[in-house]
Amino acid sequence: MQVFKAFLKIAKKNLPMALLYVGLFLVLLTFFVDSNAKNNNFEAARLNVSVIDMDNTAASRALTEFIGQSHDLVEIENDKDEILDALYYGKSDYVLNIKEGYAEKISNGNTNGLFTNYKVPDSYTGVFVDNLVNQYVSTLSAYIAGGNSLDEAVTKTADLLSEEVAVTVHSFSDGESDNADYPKRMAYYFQFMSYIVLSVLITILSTVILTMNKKEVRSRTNCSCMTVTSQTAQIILGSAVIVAVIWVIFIAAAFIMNGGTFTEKCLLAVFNSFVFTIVSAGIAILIAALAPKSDSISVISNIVSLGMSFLCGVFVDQNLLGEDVLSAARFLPAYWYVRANNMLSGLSDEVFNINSFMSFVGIEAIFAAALFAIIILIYKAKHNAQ
Amino acid sequence: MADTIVKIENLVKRYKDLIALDHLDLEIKQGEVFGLLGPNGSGKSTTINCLLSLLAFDKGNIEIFGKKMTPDNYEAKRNIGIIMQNVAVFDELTVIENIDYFCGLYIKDKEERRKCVQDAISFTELHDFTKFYPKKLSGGLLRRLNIACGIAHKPKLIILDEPTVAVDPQSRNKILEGIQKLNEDGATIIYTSHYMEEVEQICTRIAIMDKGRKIAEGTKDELKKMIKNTETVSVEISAVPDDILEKIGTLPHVYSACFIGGKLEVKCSGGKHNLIRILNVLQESDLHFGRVFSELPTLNDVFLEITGKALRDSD
Repeated sequence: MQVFKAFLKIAKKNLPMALLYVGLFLVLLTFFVDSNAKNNNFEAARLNVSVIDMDNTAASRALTEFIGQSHDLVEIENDKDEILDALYYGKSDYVLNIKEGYAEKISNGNTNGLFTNYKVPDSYTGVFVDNLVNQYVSTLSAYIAGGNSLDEAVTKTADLLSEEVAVTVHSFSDGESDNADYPKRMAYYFQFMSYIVLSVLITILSTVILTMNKKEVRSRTNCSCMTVTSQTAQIILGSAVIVAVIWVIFIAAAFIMNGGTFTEKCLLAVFNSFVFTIVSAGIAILIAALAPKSDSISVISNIVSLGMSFLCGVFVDQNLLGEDVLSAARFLPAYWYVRANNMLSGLSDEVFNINSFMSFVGIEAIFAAALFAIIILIYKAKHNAQ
Repeated sequence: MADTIVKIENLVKRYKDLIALDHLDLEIKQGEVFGLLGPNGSGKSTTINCLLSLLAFDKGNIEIFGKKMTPDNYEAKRNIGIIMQNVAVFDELTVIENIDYFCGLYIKDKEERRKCVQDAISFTELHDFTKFYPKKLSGGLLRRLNIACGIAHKPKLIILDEPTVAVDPQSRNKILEGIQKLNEDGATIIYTSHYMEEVEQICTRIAIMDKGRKIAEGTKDELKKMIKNTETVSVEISAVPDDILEKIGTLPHVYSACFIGGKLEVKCSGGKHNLIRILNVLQESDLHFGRVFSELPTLNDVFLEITGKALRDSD
């Protein structure tokens, strides 16, 4: 078992980097899960707005009151220097001057020259309040044009614009997934696990295999009286042990995070992650078969794991990805992993169905088989080239 | 008569249109230190790789220990030690772990292996560095580790492929002494190099290779006898008139005399007292001269005369 022991010793040398990956992943995931659980409510921003009412009519006071409902009103004197100071020092975000004759003009259907304003040029706050005032004036004009008196129009406008639209923030981490069978926390965990498992396996497995296959060392090993079959078997065994240990670490962390229990859906997610871990091992070994040097492994690891995760909806909900992206992603195993996980958690529109779930996992298994077939072909081609 | 350890017959290896080995024949006897000498690209390493079944060849036959060498001839491999041109160790394992790993590919018994590893460490004098990682070792120590990994299992046939490349003179001498010691202990050695001094120093028989062919084979004396030159006399002198140069050229056994860059160089073929006769001519002509050298032919002269180019040209 000489090759096997050396394999594990070399893997141990790469362990600190892998543990760093795992540790960071678990810490970041915990923060991410908590912050997402809290941040799914929408609340419009409130600005400091100053209104100088030169018209001082019921209509102009109604407008001031309307603005006050959405923003905080800040009193200010009608003095240009004071206004500019207030904007500069952030005391006020927007100063609206309702010109004298506002009520008269608007009752005649004239909406030009009703206001002057002071705002920070090109600021979102300026655009925000402009839109609000324009919306108010447009609605008011529409009621007046519809034959309402100014007082009636003001009342109806206030009623209409006070109606609030319920806003829900949708993200892949949201939804009705927080059920006892497969808690949201677990859904996130298994979703992101695909990225980190792939990264860690490429970092460790590819590096160790590349080291074992270093030309000079391989030549010396091939010159020995140990059979090629025995060498290969020991390398496969070493790889299997590393893959199993990494997978068990992640599943144990999930088990602890879930309060020391796994429901039926959690177990399906564990099964999904197991198959994906084998796919990841295949990718890591394929990279080792193709990569020129172990120095390039970290770059390749980032490109492959991040690229696949972004394309396949690990970081961004698959519903938010373009059709073209999803079409391409179907040719990647992480897509089917995420789709199976989404189905379990209810993050997608797909209703959970065990047959569909198994078919997604089955596609992952086909990817694994294809990867290992390609690896065998590459090594055979390399052997024949000698 | 000693047993034949390695027999290579009519070996041909092609890389597309390039013929790396051109009908090569070699026979190496037990107890020999056999030198494969040739410039870079002459086919030395290709020969070694074919010998070890690391490389498939197009034609010919290789026998080691009387049996045909194939990739699965593990019985033969058990008795072969290989020291590669490039250091073949794991950077992630310590000195002792590396030696133990490569020794363990041959010896399964732990106790026996432990003893072999200790012997290899003693032989290469790596006692003080057993816990060091290869990256912390100097070039010379690294080469010694490379050797320790190749000989720990006590092979009967040791193949050293340019083991002294990029090694300082002190470490080089240590390595060469070690190789001679291994030979004295009973191992047959195949030593490839393009450093003729090393080959002259340790090899009992030498084959000179060029362009994949064996161009000469024999002991160093046999090889030197193959060429016309037996002695080269060099004299440091400020000037030599043409008539004197002509006179030296007509001396007995002299076949070439030339004056280049403040040095008179006279090549002789056989005979005795060539040096005295040349110096007499110079003294009679009242020519003052500085240092005088009389050199016997080197393997480089052999190579030069056979191929028309110097061994070092290709370095």
